[in-house]
Amino acid sequence: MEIVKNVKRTCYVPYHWCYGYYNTLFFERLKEEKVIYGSRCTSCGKVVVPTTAVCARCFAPTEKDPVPVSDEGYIDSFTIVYLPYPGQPSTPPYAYGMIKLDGTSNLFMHMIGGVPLEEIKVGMRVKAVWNEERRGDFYDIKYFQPVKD
Amino acid sequence: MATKVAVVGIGMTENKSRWDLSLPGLYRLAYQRALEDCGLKSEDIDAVAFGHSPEYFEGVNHPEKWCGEAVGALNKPLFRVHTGGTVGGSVAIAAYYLVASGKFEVVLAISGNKLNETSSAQIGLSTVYDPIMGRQFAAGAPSAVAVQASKYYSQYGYNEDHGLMVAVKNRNNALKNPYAQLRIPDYTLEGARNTPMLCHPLRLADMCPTSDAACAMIFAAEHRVEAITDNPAWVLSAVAVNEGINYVDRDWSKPIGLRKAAELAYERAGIKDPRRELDVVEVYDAFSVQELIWYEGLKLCDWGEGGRLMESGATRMEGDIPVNPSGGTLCANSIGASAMFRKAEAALQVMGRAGEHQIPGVRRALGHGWGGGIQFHTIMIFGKDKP
Repeated sequence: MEIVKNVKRTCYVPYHWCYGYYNTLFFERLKEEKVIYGSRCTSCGKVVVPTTAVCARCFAPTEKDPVPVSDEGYIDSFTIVYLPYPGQPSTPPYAYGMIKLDGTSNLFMHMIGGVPLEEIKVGMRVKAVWNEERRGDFYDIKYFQPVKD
Repeated sequence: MATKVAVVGIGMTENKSRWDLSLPGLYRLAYQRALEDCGLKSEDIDAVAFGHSPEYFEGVNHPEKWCGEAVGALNKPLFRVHTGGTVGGSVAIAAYYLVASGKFEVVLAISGNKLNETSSAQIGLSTVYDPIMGRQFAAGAPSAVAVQASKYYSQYGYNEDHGLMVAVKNRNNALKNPYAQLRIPDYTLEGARNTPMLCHPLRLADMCPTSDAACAMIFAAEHRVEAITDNPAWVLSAVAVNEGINYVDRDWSKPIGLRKAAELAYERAGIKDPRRELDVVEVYDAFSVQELIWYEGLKLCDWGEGGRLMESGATRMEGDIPVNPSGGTLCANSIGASAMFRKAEAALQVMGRAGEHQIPGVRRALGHGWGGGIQFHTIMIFGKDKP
């Protein structure tokens, strides 16, 4: 007799997630204007991306009008993913990292591309490469590509 | 004035992939072992603090609903606590608070997970990211910590060997711990260097295994301790601090939340020089490089000196400040129980009952926990002497 030791089942639940006001604003501008927007804290005066209601350090509200920020900056830290596993944004190997956009004070996560992966270094200057077909999501920017200083 | 509290009983299950026990069965095993450890019965426990990390790992929600009976929670309060990887630490601290408040005398803290019940722990881990702002690039845990590692190594001029040194130290320590999952003889730096690169700069050797495990600790009020045991581990301090995800000027290699937790924990325990006054430390090193960053957060050395502290040998079993003699989270990670294992190991060191990986003459030990977006930190310091 075969011993029954476990059972295999699957949970499948579709969701739809609400953007809220500030995320809608951010993605709308990304799509329509090809511009990355952030918010300026009314207390410390620093700009964070994407647009948000409060500064996560001061907990003060941000200014009413969003602030357009540069689509250039530098790589603060990154990884090259070789390990394949479900739920990944791309097929390994690929690189993504934290980008410090010029004039901002927090980190913007995105793909790093348009360069041989082994040449990517912390501190490298990068610029957004935009998609011509934009849908109002993060991939309206294809990736950030290293540029000369 | 808060009631003085001690750990009087500890129950651990072995970390491994196990198909002989259901999730409640695993909790029950840790619970029974904790009761047997101190000779208490179910009716002696006044309340239960219950932990479990993201439900996605077992694909079942609200486990405190159907695991409560396995931990004796009949006609008594049961509180669920959840802070991701930190949960075991948060649960232990919650149980401590319940006793310290004077409202309860004997409280069980228990936490666990069966990570091997999912077809992919990484899918589960991917669902912990913000669905709108986080999930598009990050997936799973290794790549997020790889980004932290890249920041740390580049900021201070270290390289991947520094993380691998931690792996070699902890894997060799784990050989002395029967509860560890990765017990690999003759683990060398050369061997670690030859493991595949999974998320640059992290190799397979830098990463923890996938474990099924539960851990339980029983906390008792001062006036009850003596009747239960003559070998308690007194709680000198218990601190939990949260850090944000993407606040202004955040530096992933400089955990200000952990630094604050450490300063509070030392102040409350009357510790001025942690490197000298602590005898052993257990940190939550799910990934090797993190142990170096936690050295700095815990003020065992200055910011940027973690790699050099490792090189000096001070944190080896025979060093002046041994870290993770149990092998740490790098050798056993069920997530749900891992942060409690750090506390339980620290308590066992104080009791002198850590077995083969006991550090001689421990009077004060620290157990740390980390979780969330590298953001939640817990610390408990235990002492042999009543505070």
